[in-house]
Amino acid sequence: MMSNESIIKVNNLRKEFKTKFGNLIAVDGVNFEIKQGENFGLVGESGSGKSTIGSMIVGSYKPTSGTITFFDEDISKSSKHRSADLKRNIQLVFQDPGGSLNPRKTIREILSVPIELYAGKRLSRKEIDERVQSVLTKVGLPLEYLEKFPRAIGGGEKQLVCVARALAAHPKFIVLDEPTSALDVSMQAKITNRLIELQKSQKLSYLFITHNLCLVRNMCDRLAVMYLGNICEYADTPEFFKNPKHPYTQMLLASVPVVSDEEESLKPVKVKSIGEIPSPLNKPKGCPFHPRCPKKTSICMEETPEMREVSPRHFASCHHI
Amino acid sequence: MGQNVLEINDLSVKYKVYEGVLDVIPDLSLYVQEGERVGLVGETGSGKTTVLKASAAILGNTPAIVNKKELKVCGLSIDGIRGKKNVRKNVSMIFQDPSTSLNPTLKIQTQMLDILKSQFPKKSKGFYHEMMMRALKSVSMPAPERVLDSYPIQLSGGMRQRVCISMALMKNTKIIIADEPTTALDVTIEEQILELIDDLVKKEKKSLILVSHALGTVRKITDRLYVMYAGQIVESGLTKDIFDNPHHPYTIGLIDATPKLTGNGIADGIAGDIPSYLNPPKGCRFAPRCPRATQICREQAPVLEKMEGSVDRFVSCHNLEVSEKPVVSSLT
Repeated sequence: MMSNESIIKVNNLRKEFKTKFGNLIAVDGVNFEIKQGENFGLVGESGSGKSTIGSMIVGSYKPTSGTITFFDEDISKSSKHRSADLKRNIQLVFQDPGGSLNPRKTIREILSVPIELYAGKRLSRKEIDERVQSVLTKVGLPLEYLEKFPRAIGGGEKQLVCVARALAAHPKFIVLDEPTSALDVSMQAKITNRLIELQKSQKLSYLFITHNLCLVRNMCDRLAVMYLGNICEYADTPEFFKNPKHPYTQMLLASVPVVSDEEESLKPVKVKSIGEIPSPLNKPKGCPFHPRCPKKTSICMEETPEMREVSPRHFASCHHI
Repeated sequence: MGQNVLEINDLSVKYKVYEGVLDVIPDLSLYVQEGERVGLVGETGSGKTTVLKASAAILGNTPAIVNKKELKVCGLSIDGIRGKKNVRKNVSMIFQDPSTSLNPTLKIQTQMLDILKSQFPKKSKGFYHEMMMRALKSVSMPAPERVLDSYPIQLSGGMRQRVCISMALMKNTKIIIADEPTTALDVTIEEQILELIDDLVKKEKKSLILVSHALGTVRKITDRLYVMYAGQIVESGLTKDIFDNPHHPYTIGLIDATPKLTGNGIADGIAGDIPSYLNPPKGCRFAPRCPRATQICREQAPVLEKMEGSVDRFVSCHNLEVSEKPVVSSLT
């Protein structure tokens, strides 16, 4: 279960990319903390920088400034400079299961890679086989899948293989980058339920990156909403959905397509979606959300709002709360 | 509401492939009335797009074998050159991916001009320009002048989809077919685009066919709904009725598997996958995945029957009497 010790701590994290058209600020000073055993949701529209944060945690990118700590260890460096043990402890599941499995290897070969790599010693063929089988059973796939190639199994099953591959390393923390957005709803339901089960049985912590608020509602303990590289609101899930404070969060929530009148009544009323997310290349001055905000005043155009606690354990960055 | 602008009776579509013949759509009938907004919903591979393409007569270049008793657009056949002209005059389509449905090497202006020239031949430059500006303004495009002079790559996804919609609306067609128009977009933009399509359809009294795999999306703007599974319509009726009280086990499973804002976890989804079209199940196509399946389901295909005492509500299932919620088995 959730403990008070934090597993990942992100402090004033920034990532800039140099492009032909100038500096692109993908992540602009983000702070959050994930407790051990927690399932933390990171929600935002495309271009909000949520995947960049995931990539920095697993070490695909090195942060421009700011720090990431894993327990007490500073891990704000690229994976080239990370120890094998650290890499083993932090795993990643990608959005597109088809593109992240080698089409020329069988499921057995795919799953053996992390097992051999992180075992720390030479394993016999039999030992590897045993571990491959146990990890495949954990995600609930039948053993005959071991000899199959990725193309022979369905999209949802491929994603389960990706989850199995991440689990094979015995990680403590998994970054799930939109694991179900390429799948149909019934498969999505199966995978999310399996992920929740595994989190409990394997004592994992997740960073769940998604654009789907409904999914986060059912899966995460706490969530943060991102807009243009900044976190604009974060809170415990039930509190967040009961009292969304930030105008962007309200707009996001009002736009969610739902399937019953009961849910319709939970959405904020009289909030209309206007405008589009601007390019991170020319981020608006002041509050990044002000061009689309219905509540904006002159202060929003000049000063970037600070993150503050608007009610217990509920943080938002807006001048008008 | 008035007469039917689209009427399909007993349509069947098969695809010839290397492995054999895919029996994608065995027997399908549907209709769309004037001024009606109809939704077509189902998971990936359920044959939604095939139905659309058959009704827009654009299956010609595929290895498809199309058989139909009747397929009428605005009361006229779609066969032959005359039929093609009829479809072109009356149907416009909005596709899923706005970035691939626009030509990347031509300016928006050039692409819109093509449509206008076919619709209103031999008019002045000023007239065309005026029409294009009006079309872009009608989809609340910011800075339409600049958009006309841009290449698709210079526009955002939402703006490209607005361009596609404005192009679909520029021709004065009676039917608009939107094939997953918002799947590639973010939720806040999706909301705007759906609202836009809805407004325009209402204002211009057009008929809309909205195809989507997302239940929430169709619920937002349609009057009537067809639920498709494996090439067949399993349930149809007024959208509100279906969402309030779904009858077919597939519809129930689909709604249950959708994550809800109310929380309380997600049901475990429908077990299994859509069957292979090479060798579809003999009886009900949903039987292998159905929690209610009995012997008869495996042997005999159910027919789409009107439910007693209902408004336009059709369900095809042998075991409708089972009233309690089915227990959906988990992945094995």
